[in-house]
Amino acid sequence: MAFINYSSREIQLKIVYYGAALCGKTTNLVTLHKQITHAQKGELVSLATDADRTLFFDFLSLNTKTLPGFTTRFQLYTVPGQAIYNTTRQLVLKGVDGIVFVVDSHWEKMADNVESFANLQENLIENHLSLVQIPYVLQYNKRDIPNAAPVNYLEFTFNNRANRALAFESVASTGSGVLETLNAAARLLLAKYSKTPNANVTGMSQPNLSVAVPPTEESPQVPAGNAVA
Amino acid sequence: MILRCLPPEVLAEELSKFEATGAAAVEVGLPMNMILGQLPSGKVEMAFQDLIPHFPAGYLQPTESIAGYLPNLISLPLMDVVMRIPPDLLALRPDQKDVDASVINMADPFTEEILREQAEAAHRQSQTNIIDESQAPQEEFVPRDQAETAKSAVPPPRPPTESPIPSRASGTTTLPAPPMPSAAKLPTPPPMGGLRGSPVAQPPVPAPAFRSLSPSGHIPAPIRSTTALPTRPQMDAPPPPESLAPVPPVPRHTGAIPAPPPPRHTTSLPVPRWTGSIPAPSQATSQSTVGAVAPQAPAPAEKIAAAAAAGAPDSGADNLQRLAALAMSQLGDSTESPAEVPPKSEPVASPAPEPKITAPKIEEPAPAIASTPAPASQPPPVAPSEPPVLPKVISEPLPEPLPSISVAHPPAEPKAHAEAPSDSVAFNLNKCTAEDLVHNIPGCSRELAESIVQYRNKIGSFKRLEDLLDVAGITKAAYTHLTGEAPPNNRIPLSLNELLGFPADQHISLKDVTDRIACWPDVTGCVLSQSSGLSLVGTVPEGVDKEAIVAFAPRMFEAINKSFSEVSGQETDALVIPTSGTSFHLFRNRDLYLIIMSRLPQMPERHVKVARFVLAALSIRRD
Repeated sequence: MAFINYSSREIQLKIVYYGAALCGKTTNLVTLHKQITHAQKGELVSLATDADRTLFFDFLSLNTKTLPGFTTRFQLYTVPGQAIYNTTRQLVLKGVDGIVFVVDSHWEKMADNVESFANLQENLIENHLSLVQIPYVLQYNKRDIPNAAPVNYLEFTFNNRANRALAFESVASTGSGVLETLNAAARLLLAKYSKTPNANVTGMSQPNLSVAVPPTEESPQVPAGNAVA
Repeated sequence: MILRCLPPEVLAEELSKFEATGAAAVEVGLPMNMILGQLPSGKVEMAFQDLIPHFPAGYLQPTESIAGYLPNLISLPLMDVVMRIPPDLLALRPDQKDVDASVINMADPFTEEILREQAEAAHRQSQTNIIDESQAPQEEFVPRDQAETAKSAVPPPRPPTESPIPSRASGTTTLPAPPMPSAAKLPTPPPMGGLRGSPVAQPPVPAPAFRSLSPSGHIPAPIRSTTALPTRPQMDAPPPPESLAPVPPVPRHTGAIPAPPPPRHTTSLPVPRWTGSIPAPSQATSQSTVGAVAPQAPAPAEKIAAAAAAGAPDSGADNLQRLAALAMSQLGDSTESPAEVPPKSEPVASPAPEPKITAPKIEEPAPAIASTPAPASQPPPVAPSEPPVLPKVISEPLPEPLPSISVAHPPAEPKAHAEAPSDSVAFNLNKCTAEDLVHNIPGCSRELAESIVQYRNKIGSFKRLEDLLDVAGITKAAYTHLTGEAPPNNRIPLSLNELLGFPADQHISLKDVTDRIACWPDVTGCVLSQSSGLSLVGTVPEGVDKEAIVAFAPRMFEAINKSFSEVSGQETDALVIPTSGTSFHLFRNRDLYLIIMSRLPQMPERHVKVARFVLAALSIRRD
């Protein structure tokens, strides 16, 4: 759940990168950490083994100033994809605001992808959440491999729900589509909380999270011509 | 392929033999209903007994011999299965709800963050370049604000979006910047001599667009604009100079003074003024058109003032010459002695001038001092045909010439800003210290100087003189006193970023502007176009011909204004074409047109204001 601190004018949003093992979740964060070179970002905390297996989770904090007057801090997490770490995934999903589900485009990983997607829904239910409530984005990763599964099949498999999700092709190792995915997830969250700022609030009240800042009535007069209807 | 998925024991022959004979290439038809339901699971499995009926004869062992394998689930190769399924069977459900358009149209937070940082990096780079350039003395002639603007106005390209979802039209358009004038065309003022400041000795020459000149005769470079968009735009700003070449003489005759040969007639009014070039305390200069301000006789030149008052009202060329000669006699051969010659044209009562302009009081009305156009050469001291331009106040010897001026006004009307180079001592407002301001600017208190420096540090640098109005503690009277001119009435107090809700430090493009306006409630499209009928950037709703709209707008204004100006005496810059569906709201500012398509026949007034401001700001940016 978003954490909004009006005294410090800060909004914290949690995005979890979810997916099957070795689908590229950690690679996404590493690439983001490289791409956003000059942004106000935190250090990438990753507990990965030599075999590129995430043991607990990865963490990356990114700041933006999208909402006027607020610093929006996106906390990016990944989960361990291996089945045995389901408890860890449940813990990481606590308080999640948005999800990026990373799909491995390997044909051989398709069953794992589907199983992970099902596991995501189960773990959300464990946290009294669902994909209907939580904005999520699909990322079809590893599109550079030969014989990658076609997008129409991936859409048919993962994006055939009542509400269509934003989906992006990506090659996380090269950075292609990585930033677009994160942007989409961030947009979803900002749109959601700009409409329903029902998050945890600390500090001062008077929430005003309108993204589009309407011009004020105090705008100065401009000598101009007359409108002709 | 499917043979490889089967246990070798069920095959009639070895797999290698099937492959060698080509029998393995025979395709097997499987029931679609058994496959489609399994596709979303990421795998396709079938019981071996269900597969047997679909195999041709001769591929499998007799059923009796493989009975133990019949219940086994055979995983079919997903790729081969999916690739043989017609695409229409993989279509998404028809009742699927699409993504909210507001999400798609929203700006990318992290992309903009990166772009902002890139813009900041470019800005820092440009700042560095400016510092380097400003150290070159010859650069003072060049109004680099336009060049810098053009350089920094180009936002970095957005990263390519690979989203399969239709996105907004990509690409940004930036307004072209006018070409940089050549410094070689600038008139060179003569060296300062004993008759410095005496307009009698200096024939009027076409005034450059800049109002002030440095003591060394260099025309100060205007404030360098290093941002793509003006942070403090001003409505209907004067157009930039076409060229810095001498302007053709334009006779200006006002009042009772007979029209003399000088093309530009300015009256010397003793007022300590602080224009873009900040005058030293000993040589405050100002200017105004004849008749605009009452002439004021400086105290040290009472004789001259009396003489001027006696002969001014109906003075003709003879009187002017006499006064000029008298002024010259007061000046003598030494420029060190203060000498003032009041304008004889209009001896209107005015506050007493201050010969010493070092008083720290800002609000106190100060006498005006007019300056003459920059002379191209030094003529004889007195000439009957000289223009009736009066000398300026020289109360003290000139100190050492200050560094070259880099703070100047944007191009302004030449008539009111012609100024002699001799008395203009100025320094860089963007580099000076509070001490410099206190010591060099008459009437500038320490508090105000510190406030100016503090504000300058906050914003980086002053882009234009009007930015001084944003300094904490400065009043309009103080601004007028310091600059010698009234604050602009139609100044836009908000920057383009503030108007449209962008972060103050964000580098926004025209596409950002139109996209943001298109996100206003009930707005379905927004296009920015030129008077040539070509669109710059923007989107229109479906069913609307964008090219036709942008081509139609200038003609519509032209046609309407033909009759509208007769009725109201002025031309309109806003039109509304209400329709049952999309209403077209057209705004014009010079040669820029902003067309907003809205569902409302009447947009909210605040939106109309912002649209006009935005267009005005863009017009200034284009300059």
